[in-house]
Amino acid sequence: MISNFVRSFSRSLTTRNELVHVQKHFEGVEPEKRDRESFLAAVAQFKEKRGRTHVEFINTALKYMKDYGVHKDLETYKTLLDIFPKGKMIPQTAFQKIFLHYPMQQNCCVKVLDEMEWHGVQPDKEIHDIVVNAFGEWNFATKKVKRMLYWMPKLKHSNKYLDRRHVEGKSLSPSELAGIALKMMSRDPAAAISLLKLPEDAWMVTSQSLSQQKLIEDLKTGDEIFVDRSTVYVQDNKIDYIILSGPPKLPPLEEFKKEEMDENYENWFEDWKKRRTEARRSIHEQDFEIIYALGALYKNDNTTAFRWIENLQKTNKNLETLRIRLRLDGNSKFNAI
Amino acid sequence: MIRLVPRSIHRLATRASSAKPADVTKTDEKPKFAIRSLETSENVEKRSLSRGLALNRFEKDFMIYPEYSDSDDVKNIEGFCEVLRNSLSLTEDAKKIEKDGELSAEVLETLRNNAIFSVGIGKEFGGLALNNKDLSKIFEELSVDWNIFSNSHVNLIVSNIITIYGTQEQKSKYLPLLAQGQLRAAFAVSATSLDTCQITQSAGKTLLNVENLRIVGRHNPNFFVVFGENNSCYLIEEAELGTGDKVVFRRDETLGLKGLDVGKLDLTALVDDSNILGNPSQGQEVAAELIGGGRLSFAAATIGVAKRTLRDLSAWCNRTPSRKTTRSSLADDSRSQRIVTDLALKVYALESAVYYLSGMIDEGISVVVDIENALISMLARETLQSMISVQLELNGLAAIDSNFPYEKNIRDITTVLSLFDDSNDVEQIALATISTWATSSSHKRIVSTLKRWLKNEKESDEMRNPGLTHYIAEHAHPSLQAACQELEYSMTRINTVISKLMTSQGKNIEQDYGSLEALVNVMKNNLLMVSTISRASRSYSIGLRNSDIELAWTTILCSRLSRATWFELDQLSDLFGLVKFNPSLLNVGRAIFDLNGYAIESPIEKNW
Repeated sequence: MISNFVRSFSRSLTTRNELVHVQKHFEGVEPEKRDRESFLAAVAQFKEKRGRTHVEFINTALKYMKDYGVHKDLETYKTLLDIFPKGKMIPQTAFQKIFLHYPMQQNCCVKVLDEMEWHGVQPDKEIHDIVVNAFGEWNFATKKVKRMLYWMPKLKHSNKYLDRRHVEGKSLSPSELAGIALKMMSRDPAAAISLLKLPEDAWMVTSQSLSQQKLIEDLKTGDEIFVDRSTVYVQDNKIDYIILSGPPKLPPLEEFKKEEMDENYENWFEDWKKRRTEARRSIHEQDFEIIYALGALYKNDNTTAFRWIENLQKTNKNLETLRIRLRLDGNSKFNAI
Repeated sequence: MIRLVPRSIHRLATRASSAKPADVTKTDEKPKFAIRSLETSENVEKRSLSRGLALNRFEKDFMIYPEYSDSDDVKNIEGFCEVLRNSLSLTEDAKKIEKDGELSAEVLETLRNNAIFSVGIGKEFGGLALNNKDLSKIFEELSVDWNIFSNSHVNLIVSNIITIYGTQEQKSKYLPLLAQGQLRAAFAVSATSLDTCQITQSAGKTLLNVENLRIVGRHNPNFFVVFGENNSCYLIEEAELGTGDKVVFRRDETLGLKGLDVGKLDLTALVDDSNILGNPSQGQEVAAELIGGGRLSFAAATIGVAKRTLRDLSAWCNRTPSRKTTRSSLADDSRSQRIVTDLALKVYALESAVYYLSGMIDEGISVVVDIENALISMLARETLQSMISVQLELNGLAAIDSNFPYEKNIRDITTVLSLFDDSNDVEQIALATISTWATSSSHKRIVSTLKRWLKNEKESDEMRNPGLTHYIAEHAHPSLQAACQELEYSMTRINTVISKLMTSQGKNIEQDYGSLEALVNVMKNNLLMVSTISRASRSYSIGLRNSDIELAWTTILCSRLSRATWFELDQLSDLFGLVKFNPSLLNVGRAIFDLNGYAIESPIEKNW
């Protein structure tokens, strides 16, 4: 299929044996037709011609990668690096090994690899082999790819709150993404994340744990709590979510605790028994707010948030007696309900 | 060790360079798991991990955790397991299986669609011929219900022995049918003994006759593996029986595993030599292989169950209010955390060991894994037992309420545990090791007490400060240095102790069950240490998710195990080479048996 495309593409661009400016390969394609296939077709066409302007071509291609939406595609980077001729640039003599052999090409290769790293594309063994075949085992560009192969997998899972395998390369619906985002943010392991599907593709996701429900129960009639919106990123996906929160009840935690030795051992056992039944400060009771629930909505406005609250009331009866302020609609006045 | 190239390549390079040509003989045949003696005097450490560790010899290849060389293979098996998991979750109904006493038609259909009955069978006989890592992964999934697991398991181990011992005709006759699930196998190996059939020979034919033979097998079995009193193993297919033959099976009332046929068989069958599996009088070996061949998959199933249990337990504890503190959950209680710690470490260690061993077999280099295989079975049993006690501790009443799934699980586990036992293994493992030790190291029995006493000081110093000779830590991630040192200490100590036992007791050691058991415990600990260290090192080096936890777990596990090892070995050493510390473990039990029970008088009894 690609070869067909190449043929038609090359016909449309040039007549036979005509020189094409590197820029033209990518610029010539209309913006709406710019996709992975046309990008690869352009690369294939360049390779077919066996042009010698590798560096210029790759540099130009790099510029257009984002336009064509291939900046996160490992295969495209492979194809791009595959343009370098094999074997010719491998240093043979001691001098070639000491000094930068084919500096332009190596720099260009490093640039491609940098771009890859910047966009978080994980390298694999094949891309290592491609670079080795072009530049030799221990050249500058090869060292770069080896370092990437060493470090990038090591740091791949440094975000312990999110399992990126659940997001990468998957086509997730907005509600699924919202669920993942809430799961990522809910630090209480008891948090239950529930999805409510409504007619006409509408949905609402809620994350609330038992201790949060308990905190709502403890609120007094007429207490004020708020619904605000905020944004979080799951990998590249921007996700809006809402927070149900209220003013703090406990004083802020002291950053440094002074160690005090209580030397009074009278009634120690009784004291201890009393102390251990006392309620502990939960993770939801932060210094400047108490978080009662998190949610994400198909539409972020007060009306939808109101429906969310209504739904939340089924499990949190006490919500009816509270003054809830929805603050989703931009600069609108606080809408009390 | 800095790894700039992916580990797989690195491993291939190191393994290839370090292994001598004689060591890399590829073995196409199935591995054999029956414990045997390994009487080679050189390079024991290259052939058997546990024997090498007991000899205080170290082979660096064993510190490289085996893995798939191709990432696509990993993706394939993960995809396979996902399909299996999803389809099982749709069809599996524990209550229905219990009620009907068999796997439902849908479950059987699922198993057949996923080719579960053919996973261990060679490709030429219509099987999938999966490797051991794949098998372990699949059996983790199958353990979603013990009945599903055990039905598949019977099929696997029976096809395993036919692959190893069967003639070409037997293979091409039975294996395709087993692969399709048409032959429902059952075998006569029970926990207590190897029950055998009476044999009457006449005119080239053999008449097998037995009543109340204990068998275990798939529901409604039609293919039997039985053993004759002449120590031969017979394969009997129900469809082939003559008019004068009869097979009657009665199911026992068991506590759990209702979907597996556990019961007694009355059998009268006229058979000939084509029914004998392996050579005549090879029955004991076949039986040992039958049990041995199923151990890895059993351990894998244990891992699957344990992982699910831990997941359920955390959901339970996170959502159950604490019994003592208001507004906190059971998970916040230190006691719950402590209880789960033990189980989680056991599961982690078992999982590491199972995939370590599976991987070692898959590498195809001639490594003997009989001892490790038996050790893993013991570990799996321990894990299951502690799983039950953890559930009783944390789930409380829900653990025994039949509305919750825990109760069925506990019943099934106790049934599984009672079906097979490892009672002979302790002595077998210990003697297999010590005999190799004796042939591989030069030692002389010292009869003179004075000489022993003079040597004692040096030995006890070695026990206290073993020192480092192998520097194992160089082969693992630097964070695991402490763990590696613990392993090395443990290796030196076990060598010292065996040497001491051998100098003082010589062959008499075979009578001393207490010492043998202690040795086996130590070998178990060593296996766990090696597999967890190499696993955690690999995980952290390549940056697997949560590998920082793995490092912490491995360190704590190794320091615990090493301490336990020291304690075990300390019991075996003696004071100044004269007074034995080794407690009279056996004497107490002996007294109970001799006196027919607990014969100690009640403390309130009066004598005058």
